[in-house]
Amino acid sequence: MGSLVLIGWLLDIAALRTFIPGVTNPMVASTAVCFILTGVSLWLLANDEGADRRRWAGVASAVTVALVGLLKLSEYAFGLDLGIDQTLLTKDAGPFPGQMAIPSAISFVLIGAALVLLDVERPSGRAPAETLTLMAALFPLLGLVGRLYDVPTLSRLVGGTVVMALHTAVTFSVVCAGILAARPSRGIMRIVGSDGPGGLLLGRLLPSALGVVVLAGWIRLTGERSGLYAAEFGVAIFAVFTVVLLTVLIGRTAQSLHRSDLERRAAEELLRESEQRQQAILASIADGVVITDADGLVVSVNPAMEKMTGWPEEGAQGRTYEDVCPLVDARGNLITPEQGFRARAIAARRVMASRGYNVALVTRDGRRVPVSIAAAPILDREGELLGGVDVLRNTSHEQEVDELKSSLISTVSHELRTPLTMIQGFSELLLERDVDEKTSREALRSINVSAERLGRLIEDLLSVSRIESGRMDVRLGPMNLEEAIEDVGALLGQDREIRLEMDDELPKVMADGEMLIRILTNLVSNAMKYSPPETAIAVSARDIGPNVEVSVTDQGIGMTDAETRHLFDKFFRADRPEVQSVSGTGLGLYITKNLVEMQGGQIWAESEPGRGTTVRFTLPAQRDSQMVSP
Amino acid sequence: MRRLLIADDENGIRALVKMTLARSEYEIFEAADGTEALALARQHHPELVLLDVMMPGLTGFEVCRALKDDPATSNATVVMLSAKAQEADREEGMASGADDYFTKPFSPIALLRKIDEVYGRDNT
Repeated sequence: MGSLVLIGWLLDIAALRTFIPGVTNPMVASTAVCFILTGVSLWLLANDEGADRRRWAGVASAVTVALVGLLKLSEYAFGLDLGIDQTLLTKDAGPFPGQMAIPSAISFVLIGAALVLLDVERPSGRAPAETLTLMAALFPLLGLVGRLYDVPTLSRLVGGTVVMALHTAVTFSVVCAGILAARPSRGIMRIVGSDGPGGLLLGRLLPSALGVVVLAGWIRLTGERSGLYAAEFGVAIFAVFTVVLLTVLIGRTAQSLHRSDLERRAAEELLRESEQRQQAILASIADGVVITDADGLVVSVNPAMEKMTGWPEEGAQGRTYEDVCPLVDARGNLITPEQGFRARAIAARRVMASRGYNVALVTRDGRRVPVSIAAAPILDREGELLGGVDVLRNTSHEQEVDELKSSLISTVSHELRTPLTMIQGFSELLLERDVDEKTSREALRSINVSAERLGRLIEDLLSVSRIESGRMDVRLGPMNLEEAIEDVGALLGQDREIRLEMDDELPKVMADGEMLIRILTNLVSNAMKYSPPETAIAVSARDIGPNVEVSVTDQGIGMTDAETRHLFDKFFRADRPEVQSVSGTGLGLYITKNLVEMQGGQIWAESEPGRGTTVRFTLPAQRDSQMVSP
Repeated sequence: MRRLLIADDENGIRALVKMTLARSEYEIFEAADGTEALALARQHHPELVLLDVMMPGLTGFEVCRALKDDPATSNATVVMLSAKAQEADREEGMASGADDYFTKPFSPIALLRKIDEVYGRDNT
C-alpha cells in the first residue's frame, strides 16, 4: 500500500494517492514511507529465529519509523517545520501538500516501539509489544469510525486539522494485526491461537462485538440524520439492537463453551476409565512390570513386581530402576544401567528382550530369582522419550521344566539304547557266527528280555503322556483283590520269596483290573530291585473301614526322608550308587501313584535307610450291600 | 594271556562283550560300577579297558581320566561304550583320554576289529 501511494506521489497519479474513489484525502508520502519501513521491519522480524543481521535491520527500520513519528509529533508540538513531509518529495507542488496526521504519527511511534520490543515478554506472560500495538490500533479505529459515521471531529479529535486518510487507517489496522500475528505464541495471541475455551471466546465474541456495536451506531446515526426518528428513539434502537445482538452472540458462545466443557469432561472420564483399565491389566499380569520415567526413576510397579522384588510400590517410587530391580548376569556380576535392557531398548527405540537363562533379579532380601526381561521405551507422538516399561518374568519354573526335559531325554535315550544294544549285538553274533545250541539260546533269551524291556519303556512313556493329557481310561468294577495279589505273587515269586498276609473275608475293591495288576507288579518288582535277593517281600491286605489297604514291604536299602518325599515325582531316582546301578527311568512310581489316585485311592511310603521300605496304598472297598445290579 | 576289563552296570552288555570274545583267549575282568572298574584296572593292569559312561560311583570319563593320569595304568587302551551319542559327549570322552568311542547300540563285530587292532591279531 505504502509503495503504491509513494509511486502515486512520485508519478503524480491521484488515484494511487487517494486509492478509494471519491475520497479526496490522500495518504501523504511520509506516511507511505513509514508504512514501507514498518512492512520491511515486520517481514524481517516475522521469523523469530532469524539471523542477527536480519534482526538488526528489522529493529533499525522500526526505530526509524518511531523516530519519524516522534519528529512529526515534535513538529506539531513546537510548530516547527523539520521538513519531514518534504524530505522525500522533490517537487512539493501537488494540490495536497500533505501533512502526516497526528494520530498517524502517534501510531507510528507506538508501532515502532512495538516492533523493537517484539520479543520481550514479562514473567506474567504479558508482552509490551501487544499493549503498544493495541494502543496504536486505537487511532486508526477512531479514524475508521469517524469516516464511517461521517464525523470529521472524531477523526480530528487528536489531529487538529490534518485528518488520517481512510486507506491509511485501513493500512494501520492491517499492520497492527500483522504485528500481533508475528508472535502467535506470546501474550494474548497465545489464547487467540489456542483451540481452548479462551480462544473460542475471543475468536467468536471480539470481531462480532466490534462489528455489532459499530453497526448499531451507524444505523442509529443514519436513521437520525435522514430524519427517520428522533435522537431519543435512536438511542433506544441502538440500545435494543446492541442488547439483542450481544445477547444472541453471548448465548451462542456460552453454548459452544458449554459443549466444549462437556466434551472435556467426557474426555476426562474416558481418561480415568482408561487409567483404571490399565491398573486392572497391570494388577492381573502374573509377570512383574516396572514403569520408569525418562530419568530411569521408578514410577510404578505392579503387584507381581512388588512380590518378586520385595519392594512395595510406595517404597519403589522415585528410586532408580537399578535400586528396585538390580540384575546380575550368569557370572553374578551386576548389570550396570548402561548395559541394561532398559538403556538398550531406549537407545534402539524398540523392545529388547533377554534370551536364555542368564539374567537373575536380586530381591530386596538378597535372593536371586532367574528372570527373562523384555524392555520397551515409552515415546510420545513426536518420538520424545517419556520413560520405559520393563516386564520381568520369573523363569525358575521354566528352568526346572527344561532341566526335567533334558533329564527325560537323557534317561529315555539311555534306557532305549541299552536294550537296543543287546538286541543288535546278540542278533549280529547269531547271524555272523556258528554258535552252539547253549550260546544261541542264551543270546535269544537276552534279545527277548531286551525287547520286553523296550516294550515296557514305551508303555510307561505312553502312560505318562495319557495321564498328563487326561486320556487314561479307567474302567472301574468290583475286583477280587485277593486273586490279583496271588496272581502277581505267583508270577514274580518264581525266583524270590513273596509272603502274602491277607485278612480273611477281604471285601472286593472298586478298581480297574488291568491297573490293579500293574500297580501290584510295579510295587513288588520295585521291592525286589532294591533289596537283597535272599530277603523276602511281604504283601499284605487289610480291611480298614471304607477302604482296603495294601502294603508291600521289603528289607532293602531304604530311603532317607528327603528321598521318600520325592519318591513319587516323575523321573525321580535317588542319586546313590545302589539306586543308579539298578536300571530304571523314574517313571514307575509316578505312574503307580496316578493309577491309584485315578481309582479313588491314596499311596504313601514309609522307609528307613538300610532297614527297608513299605509302600501302602488304599482302594475303596465294594461291600455286598452296595452291589449294583449289572 | 591278554587281559581285558569290561565295566558296565548293565549285566546284559557285559554278557554281550563276553560272548563276542568267546573265541579269543582273553582273561576278562568285569566291573558293574566305576569304582570297581578302577580298582580292578589297578590290580590287574589290563591292556584294554572297555568303559560304559553312565555308571554308578565314578562315570566312565572319570575312570578313564584316572587311568590315564596314573603311570601304572596309562598304557592301557581305553574304549568308551556309551549311550551318550551327542558329538559333545564324544568330544568329552576323547578329552578324558579315551582311544576310541563307540556309541550304543554298537556292532560287536566292529568292536572285535578294534580289539584285534589293539592286540595286533586276528580273532574273527
